[in-house]
Amino acid sequence: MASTNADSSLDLTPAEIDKAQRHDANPLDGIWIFIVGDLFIFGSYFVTYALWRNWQHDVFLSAQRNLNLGFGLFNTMVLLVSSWFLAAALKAMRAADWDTSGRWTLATMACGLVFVVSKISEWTVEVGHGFVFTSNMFSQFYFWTTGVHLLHVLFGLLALFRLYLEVKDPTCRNVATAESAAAFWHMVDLLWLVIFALMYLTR
Amino acid sequence: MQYLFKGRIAPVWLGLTIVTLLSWLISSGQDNVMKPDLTVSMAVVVIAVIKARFVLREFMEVGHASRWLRVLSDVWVVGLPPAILVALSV
Repeated sequence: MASTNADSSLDLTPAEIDKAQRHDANPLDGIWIFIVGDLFIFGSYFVTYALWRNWQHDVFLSAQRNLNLGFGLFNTMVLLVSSWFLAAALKAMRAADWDTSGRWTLATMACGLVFVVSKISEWTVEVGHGFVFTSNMFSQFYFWTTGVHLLHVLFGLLALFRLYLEVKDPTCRNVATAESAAAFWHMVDLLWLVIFALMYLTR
Repeated sequence: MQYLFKGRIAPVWLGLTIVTLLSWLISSGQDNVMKPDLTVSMAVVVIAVIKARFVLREFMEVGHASRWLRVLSDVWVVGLPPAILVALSV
């Protein structure tokens, strides 16, 4: 990313800052290599899931009844709202409105925490009904995929927390760091959109 | 609140939310019977990757990024549904 600290651009209008600080992703930028790699790893995993679903269609369809579509939909909405809030935080940051940016970053983290609590509650209900990792092939895919995704959410929350600390400290503010954290968080949202479709909605 | 409605992020978020509800309706319409249905499966997968592209372009701002990133993200978006279709059909 080619972003610079917004403090050095305070004589520009917010629109000019926004345009100037839009990232122009550098091919060597670690976060983008990680994100693209993660997308393709998850992508190959999604195709493997579809293959197994084809081979054991009755098992998968029957096991899918153990999932609560309401939880899935709620979690999807929470992550979509979090992405909206974080996009607003980044816009505030580019306009050097750091207090507002900090508030939207906190709101994004609150959504992430709601997702974590909701996901763990969902697992608790499912395990309580006897639907566990070893139940069948679908349950193995389901718990593994959603577990790895939850780890991504937790790492994303750590990145957002660091971002929040930087926003609050005038000596550490850096839009490039913020863009990296935001890109990671949006990727977490993006992956969930596909997981929700594949695990909860396919028939 | 002004930043929530600055640029295209609010309409994009609203569109993503509406389309999510639409795909939920498509799938839950089958809920009572839970019959295998490749058309429903592919519809929700295609909707999901279209949403993913909007997240990539509008929230992750890949549209303003360098060419390699735009190409790779589009390869992912365009390539995933047919790969899943083949996997569900072979």
